[in-house]
Amino acid sequence: MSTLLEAEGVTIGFGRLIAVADASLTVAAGETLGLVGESGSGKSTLARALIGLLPLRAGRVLIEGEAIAGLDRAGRKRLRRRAQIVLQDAAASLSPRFTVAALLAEPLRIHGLPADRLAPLVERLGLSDLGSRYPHELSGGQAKRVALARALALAPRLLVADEPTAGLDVSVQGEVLNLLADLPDRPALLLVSHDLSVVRRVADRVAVLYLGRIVETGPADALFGAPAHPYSAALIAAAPVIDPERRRPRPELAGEPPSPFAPPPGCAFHPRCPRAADPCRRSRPEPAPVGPARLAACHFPLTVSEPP
Amino acid sequence: MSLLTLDGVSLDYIGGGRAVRALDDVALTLERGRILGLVGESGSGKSSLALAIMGLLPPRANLTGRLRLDGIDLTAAPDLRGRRLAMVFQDPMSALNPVFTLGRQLADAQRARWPERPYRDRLARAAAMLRRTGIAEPERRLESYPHQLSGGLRQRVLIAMALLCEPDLLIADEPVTALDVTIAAQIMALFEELRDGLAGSMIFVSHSLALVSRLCDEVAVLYAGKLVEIAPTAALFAAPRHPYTRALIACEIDAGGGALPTIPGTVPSFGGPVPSCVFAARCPMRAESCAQAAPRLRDLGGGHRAACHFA
Repeated sequence: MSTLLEAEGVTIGFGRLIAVADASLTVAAGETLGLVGESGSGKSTLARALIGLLPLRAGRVLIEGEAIAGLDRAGRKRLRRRAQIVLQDAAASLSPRFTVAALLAEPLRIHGLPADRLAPLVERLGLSDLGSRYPHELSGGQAKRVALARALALAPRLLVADEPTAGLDVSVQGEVLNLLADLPDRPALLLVSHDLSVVRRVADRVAVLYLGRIVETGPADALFGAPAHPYSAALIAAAPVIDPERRRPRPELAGEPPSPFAPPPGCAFHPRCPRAADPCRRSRPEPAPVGPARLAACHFPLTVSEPP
Repeated sequence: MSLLTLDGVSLDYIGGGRAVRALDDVALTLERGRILGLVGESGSGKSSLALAIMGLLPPRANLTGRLRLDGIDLTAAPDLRGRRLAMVFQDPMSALNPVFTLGRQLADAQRARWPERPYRDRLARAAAMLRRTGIAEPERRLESYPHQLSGGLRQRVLIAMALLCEPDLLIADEPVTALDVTIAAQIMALFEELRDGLAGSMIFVSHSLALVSRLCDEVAVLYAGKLVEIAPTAALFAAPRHPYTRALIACEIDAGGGALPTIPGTVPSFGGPVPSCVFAARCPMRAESCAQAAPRLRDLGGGHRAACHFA
């Protein structure tokens, strides 16, 4: 598969705060990459920067081989056709004065595209009966679908979905996830979520962020099956599952994420890490191969069994 | 006698010349020392039920039915909060007063229960309780202000505050929903540690079946203001009897492949009691009888009750 998105050494800062440091990743055409981490880890910031919504302090981002920094107005408009985002608060991203029909037509009008290309999408997302409604008359799941349809209307090659299931009831979550798992025209998908079960369901590959740095990347099945970075392991263990017999051990990750204004020296995770030793306090581990197509930034990664 | 008895509890919010029914004929009992999980989607009435028990409903709420704590009528009793009832709220960022130290707030929280006890003793108890909830250097923490604490620490402080008045009933309303996964796991571990030392009972309100499954002795499922199923935790997850409970459990996102199940339709919002089963419109087992009569909560044995014609 060809590389659709390529990010190298991306650093994003706000004043003194380094929100994302030295992040490198790629997304192949049609691939789904899950970006996971806790609040403040920089996942939404990174996702926005990757489609040109935030300036970079260092590094570069290429979409289909073209740098997205320094584009002029026409260039940015071309970029918008290729890369779209569905924001976390989808309902708030819809103008309250527009009907659903007008909201859906807007992106096509802006890009001078024929309105008829929308019909199959509207049908597929189950929006046919909602055309005359206003955003406040939509449920949370419906608002998500309208925002998704707006993004997909331009047939982008890259779609960013920021916390697509946050705030939705469980009965509606599945509906949104089923859509994302089977998007029309298969754009590459960058899925940002703090919910590991969501990422596990939908993503082909996963990148785990901690305090603004990517600490592990790898194929979703392999990474969830046998995480290499102790933080990935702790995140996976902390995700709640139905367990009335209390068979699973109680997850144990002490402490809280440190302030991103004063990240600890060495590996930023060392104050909470059960495997931390001297080197972890002194030097920051660089991402290194830990298995097929897998990288982890850890001096003492957990054993990852290789497939036969 | 049960610690908490609810019988025929209905609640209407009055506004704009109409009434919206938030709870409809809810009946349940809770024994001392037990933890009850209250689950349901948004709009199911779970927070309304918690507020009704706490006596914290807004003036425009019309509450009917019997609510008794240890035989005391909760609708007529003088303020029991801070004495026999305590609550932990969802958002730890807004539940503490920003202009007072934690020590002052934790000491004041004990005043209703022990007005005679000296301030110094109340501070000492506060420090001991902070230690029990996993806060290091509690004496130093007493001098902190809320803004100096992270969300996880604040929630620990609020749990400590609730436990300090040794309530008969502690209600925790989505206490980890606003927290990150690793911090949420720590707070859930704290609740699990505290469960054996609980003098009274607890109601744990959550939209998450996973959280409830590990912590609670019994689980009550609310749908559109109706109690549709209640059972001991193991029985509820092993053999859910109401189609809505089954659908909720199926909707939990697992690692498996294939499309995720969903529940078609949305929770109805209604102005008053309906003559049919509230779940009928979304139910895969719907039959004619469901539209004709609302199923009553039936005893299925072993403490398991469900409101379904086909349970």
